[in-house]
Amino acid sequence: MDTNIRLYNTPASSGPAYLPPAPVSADSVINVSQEGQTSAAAPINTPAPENKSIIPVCGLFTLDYYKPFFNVTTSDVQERIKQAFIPNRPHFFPTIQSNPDVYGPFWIYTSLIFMLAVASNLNYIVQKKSGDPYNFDFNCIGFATSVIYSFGFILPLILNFILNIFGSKTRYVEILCIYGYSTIVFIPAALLSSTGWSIVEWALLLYAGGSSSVFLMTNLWTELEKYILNKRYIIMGLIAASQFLLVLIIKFRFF
Amino acid sequence: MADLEGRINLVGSNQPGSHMQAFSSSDAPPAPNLPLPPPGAPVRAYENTLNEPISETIMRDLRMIGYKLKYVLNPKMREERAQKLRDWDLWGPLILCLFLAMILSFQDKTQPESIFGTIFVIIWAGAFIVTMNAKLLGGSTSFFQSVCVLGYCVFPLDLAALTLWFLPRDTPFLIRLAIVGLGFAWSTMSSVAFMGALVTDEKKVLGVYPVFLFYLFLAWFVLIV
Repeated sequence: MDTNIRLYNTPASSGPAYLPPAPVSADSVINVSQEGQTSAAAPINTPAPENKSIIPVCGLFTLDYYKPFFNVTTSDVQERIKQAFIPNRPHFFPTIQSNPDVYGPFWIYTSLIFMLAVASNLNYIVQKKSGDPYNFDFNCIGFATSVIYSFGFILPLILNFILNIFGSKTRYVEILCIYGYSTIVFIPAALLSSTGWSIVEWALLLYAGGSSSVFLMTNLWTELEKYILNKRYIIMGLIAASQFLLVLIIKFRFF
Repeated sequence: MADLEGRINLVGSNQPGSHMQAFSSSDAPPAPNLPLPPPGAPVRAYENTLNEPISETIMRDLRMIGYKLKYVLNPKMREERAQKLRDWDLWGPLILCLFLAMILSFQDKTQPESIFGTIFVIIWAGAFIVTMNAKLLGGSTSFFQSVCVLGYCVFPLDLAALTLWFLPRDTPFLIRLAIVGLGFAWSTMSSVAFMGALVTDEKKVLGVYPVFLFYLFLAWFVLIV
């Protein structure tokens, strides 16, 4: 009796495609044929932990479900960050398609929140006249957290949804990865904007918004060129509008 | 069970002072039929501690807190990877966190509750996120042990905040920066020694950077309030 189990959609390239024969149990979602024919299991969207042979249904709540998305080394992350600073080369997307990570986006967003708080404080100190009392508004940290995390996690969800409706086979994690790394340009822009001149702030933040939009569009170009012109413009417009909205929010709330 | 019956008889007897004798820890051998502790739980909780005086219980907890604080303060102890650190407790981090939040909120007259809330949330949410990050990168640690170490390493920033509170208002900014910088460096060194050992070498920076960011955030708070 030979049982073969196939799992579809494993995000990590490592890991066996076939598992050793699994004991049949009540909570297993894998159908195992008993007559020796190879049977494909029902497509399961959860990645297989290396040494388990039974996958619970609600893998979303275990830690092991998310581990493949943190499968990067220091040099990987450094390389991706360097590529993200150059907006007009499309080499980022193929790099991450085999191994998208959530570590980069998450910690870039968190660093951006910290940097916005620091830069906002510096800007306040530089701009206030010497007689004014010093009361920095600490509520901006909570505001920054909600705005950056919602922009960072929900916008890729919407974009991925729209791309999938238009026919692409992208995954949420890949779009999240591109979005996250594109935000890295905002960190030096925010830090340098603390000087206090309005024109410098506008220039830096607009550059950051433009650079991240171009980065997104360039790297999604392989997907975008399959569409007809109208759909392409819709998506490009959506990307540009969302980045510009972020620039406006940052400028008016923090500086 | 014989000693248990003996103790019950002693409590029930009418001799003066017998009640006190029943509750002294000197004549209480470890009871053999208590349940085994679950793996990972602090072992000390399952000794026969029901009959000891309260001062003994409190002193034991205080001694544990003191031991962990010495681990943070003393660079030499870090090398030996002290075993007692396995017995995590959250009293120490809570006391240190409340201390820091209170000191910082005393210093600002306009919005103390906002500062208190922000510090509290940053310390606990930050410790949680940094620990989850280490676990997701493949580190092998118990969750609460890591939160415990991160909480205890806030102690140098507590000292820095206390020092800054007692300095006069017009000390030059560079001196305040130096004091906070020293506290930050101390916290980060203590913490990195623990967290860096959790992940493999090729991911070491990935595991250490969140710790660095966490203490940087707290240090920045101490500096500007």
